[in-house]
Amino acid sequence: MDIDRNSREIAAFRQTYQTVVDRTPVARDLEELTLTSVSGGPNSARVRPARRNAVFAAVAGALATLVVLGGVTLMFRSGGASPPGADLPSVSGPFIVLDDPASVLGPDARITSKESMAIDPGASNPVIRMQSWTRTGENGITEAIALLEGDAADELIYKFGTFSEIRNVEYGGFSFDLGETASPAGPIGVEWTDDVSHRRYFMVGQGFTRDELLDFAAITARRSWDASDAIPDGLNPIYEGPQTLFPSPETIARVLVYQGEAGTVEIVSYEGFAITEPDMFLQWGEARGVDINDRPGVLAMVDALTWGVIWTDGDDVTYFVTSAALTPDEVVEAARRVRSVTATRWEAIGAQPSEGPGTENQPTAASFLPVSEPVTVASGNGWSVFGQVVEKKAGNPTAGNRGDCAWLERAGRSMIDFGCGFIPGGDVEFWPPFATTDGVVLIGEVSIETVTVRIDLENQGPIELSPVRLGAESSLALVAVELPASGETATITFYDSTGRQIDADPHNERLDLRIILEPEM
Amino acid sequence: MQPGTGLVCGKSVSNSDSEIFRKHKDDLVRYAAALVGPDAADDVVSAVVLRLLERRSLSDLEDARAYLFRAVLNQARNVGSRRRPSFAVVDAAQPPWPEPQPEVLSAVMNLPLRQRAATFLVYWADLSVAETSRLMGARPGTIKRYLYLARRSLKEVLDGH
Repeated sequence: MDIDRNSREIAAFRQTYQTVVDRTPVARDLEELTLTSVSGGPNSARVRPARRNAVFAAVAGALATLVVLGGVTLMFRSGGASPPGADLPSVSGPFIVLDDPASVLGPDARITSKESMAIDPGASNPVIRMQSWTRTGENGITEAIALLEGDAADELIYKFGTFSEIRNVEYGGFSFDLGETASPAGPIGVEWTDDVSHRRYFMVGQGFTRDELLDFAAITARRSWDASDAIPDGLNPIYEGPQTLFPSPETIARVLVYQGEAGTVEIVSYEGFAITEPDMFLQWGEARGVDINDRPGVLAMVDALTWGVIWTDGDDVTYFVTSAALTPDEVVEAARRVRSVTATRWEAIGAQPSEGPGTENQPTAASFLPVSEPVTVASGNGWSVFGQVVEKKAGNPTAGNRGDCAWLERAGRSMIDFGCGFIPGGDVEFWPPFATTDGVVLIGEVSIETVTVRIDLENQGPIELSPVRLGAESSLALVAVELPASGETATITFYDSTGRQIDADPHNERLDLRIILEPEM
Repeated sequence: MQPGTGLVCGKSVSNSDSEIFRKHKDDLVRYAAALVGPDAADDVVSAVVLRLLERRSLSDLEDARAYLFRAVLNQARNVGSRRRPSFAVVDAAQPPWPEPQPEVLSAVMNLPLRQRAATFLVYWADLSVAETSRLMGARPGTIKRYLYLARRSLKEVLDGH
């Protein structure tokens, strides 16, 4: 292995990681992990009391603010070991505005405070927001509920002392940690983290029933998405909010849909669906074709626990849905339901996805300029794969860089955008196979040194292909072929003009692409 | 409850699962620490293994070590998508060797997650590129690319000193 282990950089890596490892707690045994999860369910590991108490004890000397409400003491970590003035996490965006708190709290409920507080008196940034509501209960006793919001970048809020039991509950499609006291009249608290914004919420009530508190927490959790700062730069929100999708009517998937310049829609969610960048689609070598509402899609492993589906709908909007919580079949089923969600919302806001890029049989990225005419790489029964040399437009950080784009058309209409590559010096990438009526289309991008691509099918022998160069301006070439969808394994090798097997990827010691072809069309 | 057993969602955990996990737990927690920081490392590993055991036994896995490492990376990505590893360790003992410069530590821990994973496994854990490739579920060439990019990023920081 040609790696210089003695370089200054590597020494710095080793020193840094040694420091990290030295600060790492001792790993617990499986028995300890599972025992702490029994009462709280699968999500309770991070709120186990033992750690909570240990952390509390550790930061006890650094506490700065106490808020006492209805007999519950809330303790805020002041920043602990952080140096004074360090970039403490702050809470951005507006306060959560609940649509109809009276629906839960009762008609006489009123908001009694709404404030941001610095958890460290020496810090300039307010890091906690608090809202509280009160109502008049039986016998004229004031009942109160408080909502605290902070950034979960550090474990910021700790409940202390009062709750005799903290357990995980599923309610309204959300997962909460519920704290209760032994006394029925005691305060109740719920804590949760919005895994879209990674913001932490803690709600505590005195005089409320458990279901009332959970109802209130649920409507807050849904509403919190509107205050999320998780929207990626350059993307416009098309839809935000909960949807009851899969696997049960009670499960509310967390869905965020965005549209960017290239027409891409992303969906981000928690415990249901997460759509993310395609380069996370790492295990596509095990891909198989799937049908997503009459559109060809590909199912593949993102990594060990995560399966994903990618497809393009009739409006040339690409979807990538992944989930670590669902089985492959469930991911496919979830993907089939996403379309109806977004379509409904688009109608509601009057957007016109059909006017987006990609409908003119051109590379779909608006930030590219065509340099050459489109070249037909391969055609089959009703489909064609095209490639085109493009250049990044001015204004792009790498303006002027040239690469090539590839897309698949059916009946003269661009159906699948394979994206654009800008890899200097030659590389090789094969996209996941796309299902057709007769099989699957396998499309790859290779360096121009590759003159022959040989695809060995497990049961049907080899197929040799000549890559198609898109123009003198490009150092890349494309290859595409339709293969039988027989569940075979296709092994791909590359040869130069002398017939010598080559490594098309200069970074690879050995190129070994194996693709399993299992379409479900 | 008998020693060596536990419950995950009402299902018992076998002794073989315990043994498999015990064999890899230290490596996993250290790996997680490199990805999300020491504070959250234990939680990341806990979340992974508990979620995994809800569905299957570790002994059912063809390559439990690789599976767990990939799962930790995935979980770290979920945890770390909007935060950087925290080093606000309370009462941390001073290490017996010189601390890295804050800029260097910051540069390393702000690398993209996969670059951090690759550099940890190769440069700290002394694994080969091939073994790292197996644990991360990426091609060897990709691992090399991660290493190159990470070294280049760090070089810029070190040159600035």
